[in-house]
Amino acid sequence: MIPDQILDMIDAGIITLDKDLKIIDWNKWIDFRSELKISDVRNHFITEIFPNLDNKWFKSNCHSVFKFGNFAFFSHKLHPYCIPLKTDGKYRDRYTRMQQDCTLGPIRNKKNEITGLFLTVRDVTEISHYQAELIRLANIDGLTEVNNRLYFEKRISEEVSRHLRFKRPMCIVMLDIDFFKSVNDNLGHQYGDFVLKELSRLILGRIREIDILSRYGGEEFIIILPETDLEEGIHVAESLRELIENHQFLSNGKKLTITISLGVSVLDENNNNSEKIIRDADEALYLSKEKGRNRVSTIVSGNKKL
Amino acid sequence: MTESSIPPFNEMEKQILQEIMNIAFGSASGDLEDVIDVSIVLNVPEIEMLPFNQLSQYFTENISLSDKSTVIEEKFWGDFSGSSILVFPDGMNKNLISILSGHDADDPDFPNLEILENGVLLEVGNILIGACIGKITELLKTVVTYTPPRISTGKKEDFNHILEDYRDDSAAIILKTFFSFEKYNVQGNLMIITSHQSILWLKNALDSFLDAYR
Repeated sequence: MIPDQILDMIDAGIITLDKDLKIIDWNKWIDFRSELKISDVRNHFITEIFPNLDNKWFKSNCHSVFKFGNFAFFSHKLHPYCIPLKTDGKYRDRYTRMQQDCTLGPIRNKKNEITGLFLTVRDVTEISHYQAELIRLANIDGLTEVNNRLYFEKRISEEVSRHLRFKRPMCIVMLDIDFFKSVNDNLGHQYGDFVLKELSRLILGRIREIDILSRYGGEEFIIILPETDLEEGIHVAESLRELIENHQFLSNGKKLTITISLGVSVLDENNNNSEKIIRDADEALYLSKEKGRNRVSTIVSGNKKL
Repeated sequence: MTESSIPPFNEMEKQILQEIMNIAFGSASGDLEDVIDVSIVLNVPEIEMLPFNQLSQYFTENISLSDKSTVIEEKFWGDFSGSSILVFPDGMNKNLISILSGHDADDPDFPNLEILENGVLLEVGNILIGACIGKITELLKTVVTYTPPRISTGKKEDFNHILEDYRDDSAAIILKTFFSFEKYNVQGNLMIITSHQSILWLKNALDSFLDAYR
């Protein structure tokens, strides 16, 4: 009597299964959130009612609990949910399903033999939301909302490693706003901030979804172009240069045109790690500046090229 | 009888404990392969009995830990209680991660390889620990409950927290084994540290185990 009362009052779902993984019972928490009635699902296989559980990781963990009497823990970080339940309205933009931490454990009879399993379900949608926000805030530049340098440095190592392993081409474009200091000095820092945000928006609109744009410094940006050879990388850089040159920035009635300088480098046998490819992009950018700005330069096997 | 006055294990008790471990770990190896579909070799465990204040030195001398090591810790509770510590000195490899998780670890669209690797280590570690503790408790005719496993690196400041739960004047029994996913060149150490409070119960349980053969 008392355990039944507790089971129906706790803020967690509890499902009990027999040795064949058929549903024996569940508490009101599951009834309410699943929009199913226990009377309709009793004695049905749990994988029939929730087909998403018909997979290797769930079955091998059930097998483990039956065999060893241990517990299995399913974290939302690897398995967002075990039981597909709707999420509360507040988080529906981010999650279509409730994010859950679940535990699977043995049910024993008086002889200590394992006769079934219990599955507990905890709603961790809010926790998951805040974890994702923390990660996003750690990786995003606050002003422009593109990736920040920290994120770039994590991604460049992964991308270099992956492209080298699969022998795929990859380029880096480093770009910088020409005479940006004078924008701030003549039009104010707020206008300068507007230019940085607008520039980011324009670049994002031109590059592909798989390309990774990051703010590298004050007015410096860097783009990873996966699966892109040098010729294509130069083409992308030139396209961005032209886009920005021809764009009229307008804020609070004040018009402005700017130009950018760009440096392109490619991953190859001479540039086979993150440091080298970034350094070459930086040197190529410097070359663009030296040669008059508003242009694209590249470094090819140690030779500088406009 | 106070905890500090519990007599240490005699030679007979040590031999019985070793025999139980041999049976338990031998059985666990085969059962594990059945559960996770990957072959894993578990060595026969060594048994050490140490005062708690020597644990830190024991780990330093016996386990190769580095910043890139991964450590899974899981506590278990009951008449037989303590901590299980799984050490992967070199982490996992991608092929094994793909096999165990069912995800392609090389898939560029997969959000985060580190999360996948940690998830796999926690799940496999949990099953490996559960297999060993489960077999021991089955032979000793008891049951235990578990806390969720925790994952950390091999850095000293991360690893030392594991020892914080043990009192300075208590003793520990350490069961240490080497495991290997041979086909994938992934190996590590599993240690089970039983708490001082379990020793008296364990002595009685060993006696009961032997009764079955008298």
